[in-house]
Amino acid sequence: MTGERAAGPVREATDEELMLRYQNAEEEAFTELVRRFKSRLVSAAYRVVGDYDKAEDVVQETFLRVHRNAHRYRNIAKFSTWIYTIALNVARNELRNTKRKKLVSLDAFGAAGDSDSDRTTWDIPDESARPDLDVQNRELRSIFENAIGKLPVRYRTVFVLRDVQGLSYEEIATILKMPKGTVKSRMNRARQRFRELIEPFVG
Amino acid sequence: MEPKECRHAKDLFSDRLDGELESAEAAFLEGHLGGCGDCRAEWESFEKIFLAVRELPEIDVSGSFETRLAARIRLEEKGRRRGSWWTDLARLPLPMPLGAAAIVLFAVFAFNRYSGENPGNEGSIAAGESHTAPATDVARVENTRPSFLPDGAVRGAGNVVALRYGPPRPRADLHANSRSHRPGDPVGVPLEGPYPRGYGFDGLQDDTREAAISGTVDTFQAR
Repeated sequence: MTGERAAGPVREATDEELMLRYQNAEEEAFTELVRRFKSRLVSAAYRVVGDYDKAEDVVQETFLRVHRNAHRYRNIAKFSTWIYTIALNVARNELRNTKRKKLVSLDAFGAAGDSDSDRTTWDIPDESARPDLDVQNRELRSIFENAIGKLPVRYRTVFVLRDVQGLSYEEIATILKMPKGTVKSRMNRARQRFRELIEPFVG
Repeated sequence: MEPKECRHAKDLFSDRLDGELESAEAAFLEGHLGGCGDCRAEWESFEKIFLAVRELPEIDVSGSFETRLAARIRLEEKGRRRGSWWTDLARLPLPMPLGAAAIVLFAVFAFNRYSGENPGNEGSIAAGESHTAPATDVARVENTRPSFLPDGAVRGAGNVVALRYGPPRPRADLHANSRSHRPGDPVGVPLEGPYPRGYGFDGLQDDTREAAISGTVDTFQAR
């Protein structure tokens, strides 16, 4: 397959057009969708589940579900909203399974009392470092990633989608099936909590 | 304790960062930050942190990601091609398997309701008591027309008649009108004698009746 059928090159097609072309059995369209979304989804999944291998598994399963349910996609929703919805459902299932399997691990940031938080064993950064706010700085990135991992799941999900992935509140509301006002209020709390978590390290 | 105005200002930080403040709130916050050094410093720190969060890089995906995905899809396709009818059924939209289940249930119900098990719709004869079936098997001819039809219509021309094998069913009135097996009669050879009336043979053409009795047809359309 050349990927440049009558409908034009896949690289120039929108996500929605690619999905419609995949419904018509154009494999190249699916390959292009994977190319476009794999990193974004793995990044989001990693920050939600807190484990790289599991994040890749989540995204593999997401694409598999897209393939399996391609015929169900209707061009009335943004493709990105649809695929993020699938990915987050898979990620939440993964979190639930993980939670069942393991005991609560070391709580580096002392955020006790969040019944729905899913704490993972994160590296504890060196507090004395107090790096500048440059995320290219490996240490600061580590502090940020750890703090995201310490957020309660209900805050972490909106935080990742909004501040890390840059999705709009409308999209997040659609993905999480909740009112926009609820998303905004959770986001507000998530940011407050995030600041509290990183404060000891970035001052 | 923190002044109420400062608390309110800090509550608006998140919306300000997103550019979602309404004009009245935006004006309030601007005014407050202009006059409150603590809040202004806090806003600057807040903005700096979350602008930095937005710069967090994407995570690299392993080189084998697409190969593994392609392998999983191929495996799934292979399984789908080999899939049994119930896995295909499971992939259908929900209403279709439900509809299929309803049809199966209806068929089972209808079979039980209108088969020879219902005395009110019997219309059958235990032919094995008199004709060609082996000693252990007994042929029964049943009229499958539903019982709610008039009796005459059931036995008239055009009825669907099914010949089935089943256990002998002694019937006193049947024995009264027919000659049954007696010790010494050859097994498997049709007996001569009057066919019993009123048990499904009435109104059938002779060849149809013979076919039913000889057990050579399972289901046929009577003329």
